[in-house]
Amino acid sequence: MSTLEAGDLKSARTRLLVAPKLMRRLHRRLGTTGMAAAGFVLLVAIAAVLAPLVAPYRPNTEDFLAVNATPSGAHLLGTDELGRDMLSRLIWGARTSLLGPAIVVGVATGIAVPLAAISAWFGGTVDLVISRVLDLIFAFPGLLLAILVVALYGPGLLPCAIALAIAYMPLIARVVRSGLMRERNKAYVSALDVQGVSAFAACARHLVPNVSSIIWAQVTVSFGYALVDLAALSFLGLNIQPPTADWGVMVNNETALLDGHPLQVLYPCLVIVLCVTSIAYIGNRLAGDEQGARR
Amino acid sequence: MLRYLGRQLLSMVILLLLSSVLIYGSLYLAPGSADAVLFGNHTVTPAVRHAVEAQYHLNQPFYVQYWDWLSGALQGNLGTSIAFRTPVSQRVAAAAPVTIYLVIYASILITIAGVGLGVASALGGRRLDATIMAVTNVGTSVPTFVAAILLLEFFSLKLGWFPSLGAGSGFFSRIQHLTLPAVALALWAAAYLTRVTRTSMRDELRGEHVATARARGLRNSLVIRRHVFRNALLPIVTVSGLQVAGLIAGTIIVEQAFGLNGLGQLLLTSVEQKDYATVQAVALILVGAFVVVNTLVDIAYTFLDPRIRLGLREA
Repeated sequence: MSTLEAGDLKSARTRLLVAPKLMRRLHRRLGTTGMAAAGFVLLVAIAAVLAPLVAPYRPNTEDFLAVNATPSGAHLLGTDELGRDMLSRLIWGARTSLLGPAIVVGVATGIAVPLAAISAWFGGTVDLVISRVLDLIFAFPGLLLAILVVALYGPGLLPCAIALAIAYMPLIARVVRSGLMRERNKAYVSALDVQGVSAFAACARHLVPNVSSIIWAQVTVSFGYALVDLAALSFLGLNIQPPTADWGVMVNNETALLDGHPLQVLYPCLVIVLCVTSIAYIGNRLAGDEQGARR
Repeated sequence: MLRYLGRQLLSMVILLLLSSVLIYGSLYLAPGSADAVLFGNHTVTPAVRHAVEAQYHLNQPFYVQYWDWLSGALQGNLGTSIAFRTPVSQRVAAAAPVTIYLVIYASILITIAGVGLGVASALGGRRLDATIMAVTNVGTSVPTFVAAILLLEFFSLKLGWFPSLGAGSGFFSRIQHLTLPAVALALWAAAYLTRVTRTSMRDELRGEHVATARARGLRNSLVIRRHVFRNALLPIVTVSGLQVAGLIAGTIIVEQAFGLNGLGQLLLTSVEQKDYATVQAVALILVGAFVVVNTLVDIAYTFLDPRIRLGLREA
């Protein structure tokens, strides 16, 4: 019994020690401002996941007795023209507003990294062909591609996210490829080759993990851009459709502006700007570290 | 040099052709495209259907239809809008001026504000530099559609300085109507160009040739103009060109926010109405403009930097 307790205590203590260590490492990479930015994004993400628990109301509960209400105890940020609680809509809106960029970045990175690895490993003609194809896709503006896809499949999160993923993929692939190229020329790669490690295993277990910091920087930066582009597509009426709560949808409310209730539009604007600024700062920090290390 | 130019133009043409195949092909495959719009819920006799399909060339194989479309587009015939039964070129011609004005207006703003603030930031004192950098920080973190909404709220609805909707007619009214949209469109790019200009100027200021010029007793303004600014111009031109290319997609957002009947708005309403002929035409024009501007920037880059020019000749 007592030994068990001692063991528990020990593991608890090490666990407590691990957390500060991780925090210190993060602090070194991101700086104090970066930690604050990461904290903010994390808070928004947690609120999005726990929306049913933390949001005071359901996003589409209408209260015709409190239409266009100003901020009060019952509605901390007021209500919109249908009496829906603004704070609750912002919290629920975080779900689609963050899920979309996650899909974009996940799909784009999932295609880009294998392509970059093939390109860097085989080089020569393979590299040339892949690079040319990527250049072609890169020349097509992402927003236009999304509009074309919506013209085909109708509006929605998935068509928009897939279109943006295709548009973002070339840039991620290009940056990761140049990182992998540098790895490819290092001595340990020939050592792996001599040991008979297959190309796939060498890339999956050694080369790609070694450029993970480059990949993470790209993922973060792309996430920020995707958030903006998807919100813009919602604003254009091509992505999330009203009455679903989404930040871009909430900004597209010119009647609120014309009727003299600007706060209903300014809150989602503010949330978007804060999220984008935070993510961009973290991304630049991660990418900047990488450049610093290279020099 | 000529060979380089040729290669650049060739890759531009290939890119344009592939984009046109993509644009035409993707909508060609669209589920129930032309039929649904043409006939709606009406049931028609096979003879009528056949006649209508022949009228819009729907009975031809894909490559024939594509070739008809492309060769028509190159001659200014963009097909017929099935939903409106009017030539698409007419609708495009009606919408294009607003977009063109908007892009030119925004480009001028980007160049003046971006280069001006960037140079001021590089040459001015520490306080001016910090202020300008803070402003650009805000500028680069506000998405275009948010900027549009904020400008609309404050300068048009609150202060009433600018009209909120429409493009206006006549030169001065148009400038007044397009000022806020152009500022919204230019904001991000101008902030970015400011940073590029500042960095580029600072890099040149540190150069040995500048110290030499100063040591020879040249006037400061001459040093700045001839030895710093001219050398710093290369990245500035590249970035501003790329920003202008990027504006083409941004106009769609700004036109929607300010209710301007430009190409972007035409594209969006056509998508909504499943008017594929118009979608194809506008998408082709926007992508074409994007690709052409990007190529021009690439070519301008080599013209501006003799080192690149000479290096290419040796290669």
